[in-house]
Amino acid sequence: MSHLSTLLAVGSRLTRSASEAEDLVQDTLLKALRAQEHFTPGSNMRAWLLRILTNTFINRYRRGGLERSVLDGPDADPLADGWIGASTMEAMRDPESRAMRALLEKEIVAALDELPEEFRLAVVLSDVEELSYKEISEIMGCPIGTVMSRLHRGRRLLKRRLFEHARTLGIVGPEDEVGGAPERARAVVELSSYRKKASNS
Amino acid sequence: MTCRRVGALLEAYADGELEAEAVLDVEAHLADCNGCSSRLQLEHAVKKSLRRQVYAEAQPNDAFRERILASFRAEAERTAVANLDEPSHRSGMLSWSSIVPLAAAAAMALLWSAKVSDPKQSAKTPGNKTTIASVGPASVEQMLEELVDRHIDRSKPDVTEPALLLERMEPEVGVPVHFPSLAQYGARWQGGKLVKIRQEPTASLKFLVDGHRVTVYVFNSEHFALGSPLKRRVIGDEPVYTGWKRGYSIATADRHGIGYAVATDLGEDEGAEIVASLH
Repeated sequence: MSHLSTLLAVGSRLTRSASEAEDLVQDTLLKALRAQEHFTPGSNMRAWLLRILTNTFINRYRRGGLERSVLDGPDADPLADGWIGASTMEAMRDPESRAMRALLEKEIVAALDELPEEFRLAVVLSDVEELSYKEISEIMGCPIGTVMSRLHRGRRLLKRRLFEHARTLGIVGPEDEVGGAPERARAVVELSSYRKKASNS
Repeated sequence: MTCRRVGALLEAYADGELEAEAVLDVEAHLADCNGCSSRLQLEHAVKKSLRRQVYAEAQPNDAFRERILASFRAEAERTAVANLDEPSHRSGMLSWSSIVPLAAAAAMALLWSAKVSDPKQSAKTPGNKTTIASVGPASVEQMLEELVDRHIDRSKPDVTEPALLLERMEPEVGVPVHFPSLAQYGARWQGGKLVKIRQEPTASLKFLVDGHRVTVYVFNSEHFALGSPLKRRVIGDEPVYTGWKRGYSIATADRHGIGYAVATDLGEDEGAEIVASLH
C-alpha cells in the first residue's frame, strides 16, 4: 500500500467524491513537498501526510473545522452497547473470512459515508489506517479522550446501520429488535457459564 | 471483570491501546464469555471489511498518477524560476534549485512505491528501491505469506558457522544480525540464509526445537509494519505481535529498529516467547 493509495482512500471518504478526492490528494502532496523540511525524519510519514490532508480538507471545504455531529455533547444513549445479542452478531459475520457477511460488506462504505465527518475520519484513521489514538489526536487536533469518544460513537452508528441492513436483507430475524436482544443474550451467557462452572466442580 | 466493564474496554483492546495489565484481565474474561468474544469478533470483522472496501473503492489509476507527476514537474519548474529571480538571497544557503529536484525525487518515490506494491505493475520497475515503509493490512498479509514461504523452503543454507553471521549478513540486511542461540529451548542450529521479504534483504535463521522447525528472521524494522491482522500481546515487558498463516504461527517484534519474526509449527505462545527472548 503506497502513500498515494492511502491518501486517496482517506481523501475519498472525507470528500465522498472521487474527483474532489483527487484534487485534495494533489494539493496535499504539493503542500507536503513544500513543507518537507517540517517532516521529522524517523517519524511516521503516513501520519504526517494524513495530517496535511486533513488540514487541507478543512481549509478548503470546511472553514470552521470538521462538520459536527448533532449527537455531539453528552452521550444520548449510554446503555446502547448491549443492543445486539450474540447470535445476531454471529449472523452478521462470515466465519470463513472473519469479515462481515459479503452482503453487508458491500454496504459498509455507504454506511461509513453516512457518519458525521468527525466520526467518519476517526473511524477511517483507526480502523482502516490503524493509526494510534495519539497519532489520530494529532491529526484531528483534539485530545485522546475525544478521539476515543468519536471512535466509539462512530463505530456504534456504523454497526447500527449494518444491523439495519442485515434486518432488511433478512440475515437477522425481525425478532432481533434493537434493545430487545441483550437481556436474553445475557441470560443465556450466564446460564452457560453457570453450567460450565457446575461441570468443572 | 464483568461484561459491562469489559465492554467499556473492548474497543481499546481491539485497537491495541489497552495497557498490559488490563489486557490480561480482558483476555481472561473473553476466554469464558461467548457474548463478549462475539462482540470482539464483530469489532474485528467491521475493521477488516472497512479496510478492504475503503481501499477497493479508491484505487489510484494511471491517469491520476500521471497527473500527480505532472504537478510535481510543474512545481519544480516554478520554483527553479523563482530562484533565478533572486539569486543573491540564496548564496551560502541550500538553494531551491537543489532542493526541489530532491523533493521531486522523494515525492516520486511515494508514487513508485505504489507501483512496486502493485503486483500488476511491479514488473515495470525492476530494481526499484525505496526506503519508505509500506504499511497497511494488505502488506502485512503479503509479508506473512512470504515469511511462511521462506519458512517451509528447505534449500541449503548460505552460512552454517554462527560466528560468520554478523559479518556476512549485516552489510546486506542493514542491521546487526547476531546469532540467537535459543539454547534455553534446546534448539538445534540448522543454518542461515539471506532471503528477500517484501523485496527487502532479510536474514533467515533456521532451528529445530523438539523436531519442530523454527525460522527466526532478522530485518530492518523500517521496512515492515507489524500491525493488524497481527494481534498485539505483551510477554514479560516486551510487546510482540502474533498471528497465524496457513497453519504456521508467526510472531514479530521490533527492538530499537531491529525487526524480528519467528515462523513455526509450534503454537502461537511458543513463537511469541521465542521472539520476546531475542535481542
